[in-house]
Amino acid sequence: MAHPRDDETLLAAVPREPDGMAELYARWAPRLGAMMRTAGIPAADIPDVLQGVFVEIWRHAGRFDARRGSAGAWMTQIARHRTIDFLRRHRPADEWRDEGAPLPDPDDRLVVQAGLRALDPRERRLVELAYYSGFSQREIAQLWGVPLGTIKTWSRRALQKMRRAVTDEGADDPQPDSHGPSRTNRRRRPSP
Amino acid sequence: MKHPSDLDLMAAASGLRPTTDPLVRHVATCHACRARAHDLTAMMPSAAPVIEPPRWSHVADRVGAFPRRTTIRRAAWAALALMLVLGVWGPKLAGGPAPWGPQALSVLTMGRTVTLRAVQAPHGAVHLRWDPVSGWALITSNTLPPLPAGTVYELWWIHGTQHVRAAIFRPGPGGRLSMWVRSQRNFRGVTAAGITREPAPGLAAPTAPPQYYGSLGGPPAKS
Repeated sequence: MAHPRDDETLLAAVPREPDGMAELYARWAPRLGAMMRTAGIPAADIPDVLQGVFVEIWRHAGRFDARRGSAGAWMTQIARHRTIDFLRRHRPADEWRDEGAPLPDPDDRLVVQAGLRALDPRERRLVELAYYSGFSQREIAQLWGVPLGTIKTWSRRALQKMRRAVTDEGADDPQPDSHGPSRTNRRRRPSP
Repeated sequence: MKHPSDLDLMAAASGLRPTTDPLVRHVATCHACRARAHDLTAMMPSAAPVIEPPRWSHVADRVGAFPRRTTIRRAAWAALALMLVLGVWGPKLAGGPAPWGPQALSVLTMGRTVTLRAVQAPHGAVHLRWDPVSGWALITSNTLPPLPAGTVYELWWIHGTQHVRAAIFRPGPGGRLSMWVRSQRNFRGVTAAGITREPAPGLAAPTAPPQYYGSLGGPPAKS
């Protein structure tokens, strides 16, 4: 049985084996689509933007350089630029608006969920864009067309709320085993 | 560099920024920032949000519509190479004596056309495109009358009153003819061309008046 190939191998092989694109799409489109949704792209426009991103990935796969980062980082960077471009062109003239309800919670039942639950939709999107999609605060300011100072204020408030919620939840949560690791201190990396 | 904000630390900790990004490079070398990023990311669920994307087949249709640049470049080089090969070898590939591509090009672009009109022949004409630079000529016709069995057409370069054999041929189906002919002296002194009907090839001089005849007017004067 063949071993599944990693993203870097697939991406590097795209110029010779365009079929690898289907696998990259299956792995990354759900997450990049969610990023676009979180950023504020209306659900109806996501297929088009996603297509544009994968066309660009396909056309420029030869430029991918593994020394400059992972394939996921490279593809997400393209998606970030496309998302910013889209929202620049389609942003309503008045102000940033909250497009619908936040996405469903990730499948994670741990106490860390408390942190995100404490946030309002806009704050939650802010931290999700940073942590799950690698948007810097400057890029988020560009994305939403608001001053950088405003993003800093929002993010400061959001992270304070999260810390407070996680601390409170951790204090309320009985520890079944005093020798086990604290659940609030679990550190895990996002996986594609 | 100033220490990044909490949000930027989370962005750097996402693992989705290039390693050359100043933010990522700072975090990689700053112990305090790494510790802060560690605490911040501990508050986040591990699984990223996902949505159900459109089917790959929808995207693939569009992806397939864009040929890769390298493919276009390769195709352009291949086309150029093919043109060169055909340009140089093409006339040779047609069979029979033929000029090299550049010589053929010289005939086709720089040559002069003369029509050999019917003199003894009942109808038809032969076109002769000749080039004194390369010494080659292309004769074409599609109206040559069929020949009786055992006879041939013979083309002669006429130098005043002297005839020099140039080519022997029989017309194809429908009276068609297309062939390359060489003048050993690059048409120097050739004043006219004539086609006779001969009972046999290889005669030293024409045995009958020309079926077709045309004046070349002499080669261009050297400047």
